[in-house]
Amino acid sequence: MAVQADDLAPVSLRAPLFESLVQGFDDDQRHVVMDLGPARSGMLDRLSQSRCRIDIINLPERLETLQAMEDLDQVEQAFRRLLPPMKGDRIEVVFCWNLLNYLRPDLITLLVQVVMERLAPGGRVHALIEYQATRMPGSPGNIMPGEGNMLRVQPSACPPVKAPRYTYGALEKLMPGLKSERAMLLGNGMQEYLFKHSLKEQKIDTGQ
Amino acid sequence: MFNKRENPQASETETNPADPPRRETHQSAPLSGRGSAVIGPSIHIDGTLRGDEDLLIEGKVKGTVELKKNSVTIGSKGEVRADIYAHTLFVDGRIDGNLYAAERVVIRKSAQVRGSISSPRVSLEDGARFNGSIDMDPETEAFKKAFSGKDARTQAHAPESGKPQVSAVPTGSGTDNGSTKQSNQQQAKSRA
Repeated sequence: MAVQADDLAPVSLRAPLFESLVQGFDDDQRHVVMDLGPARSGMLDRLSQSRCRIDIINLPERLETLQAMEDLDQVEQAFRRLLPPMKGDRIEVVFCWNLLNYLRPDLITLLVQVVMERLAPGGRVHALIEYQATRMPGSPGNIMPGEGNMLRVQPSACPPVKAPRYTYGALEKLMPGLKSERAMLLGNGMQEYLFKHSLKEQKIDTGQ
Repeated sequence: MFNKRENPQASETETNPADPPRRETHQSAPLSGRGSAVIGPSIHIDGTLRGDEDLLIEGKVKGTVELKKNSVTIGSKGEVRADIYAHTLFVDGRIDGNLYAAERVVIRKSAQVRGSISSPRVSLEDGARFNGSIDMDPETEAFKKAFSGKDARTQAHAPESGKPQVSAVPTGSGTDNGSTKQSNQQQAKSRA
């Protein structure tokens, strides 16, 4: 199926759960977030309004490599190599936009296991996935925070593939330790999910 | 080894007009008021670089760069595996290391960065490749330690609000952003 020009037009949309998350950063406290996507000027712009550390792990750029690995230990090592030192910080929010639907279920579980080691108790994972349409672009498009916390979605031109359309229940099963908190269907057919760290605090080596 | 450019404005006039973004970095935040040094593309340096003038790196540098009062630019041909301490840092090329800037860090779209950045202000052009952490909290121990003592008091200008500031640069702007220019103008006035 060919990609239509209309399908490639950027879309701006409200993402209420994202809005509520970033509004919580508007104080004088230090905040630590992780973005499992490319470096986005809009994200940096928004988060810089608070005392903030942002860890950027560009997983979409490495999707092909990761998907091609059959040995999960190899995948885990590759993922861990991308993570910056924690320096005593615990992550409050992980942004996981247009990524989970491009990962095999076993890779989703592995990814979450590694991320959970850094996520603070009560911390959240904010995910955006293609949901309404049965097919999605063959590679993730770009999503950028813009004015007024609106999100600007630029679809990818890659030929469409079947969309897994994970429900929050399915994702909960794939992501041990995370509990679905809220889900909202966005204007472009994407689903916005918020998951919360549901495990009791574990003593971990934070690299301090 | 180092090509002195005693007058940054003069270097601007020598530049090919088709390539303005690279040269604009030279007029950015030279606190010392002295010339810029250039590490050319054929130069490889392994060790610690210290000094009191602005620096443009177009070659390969490995180790540590300490120019806490000055601006450091990693040019488009520059390849750096080093920790860098600068007043202002501009990145067009490739760098793997920890970057500390008392004033700001500007990552341009041609940049490939792996490591950590610690600076109160960080701007990034879409298209830049980055993997690592960006800390814009000037209250961290790492930042305070990097600019401790006399240098920290004179260089680490906290934003008026007490919060860090950042300027996002839209893709394709091709030049530094307006806030940087404004900052440069303010600094030029203060120097005058």
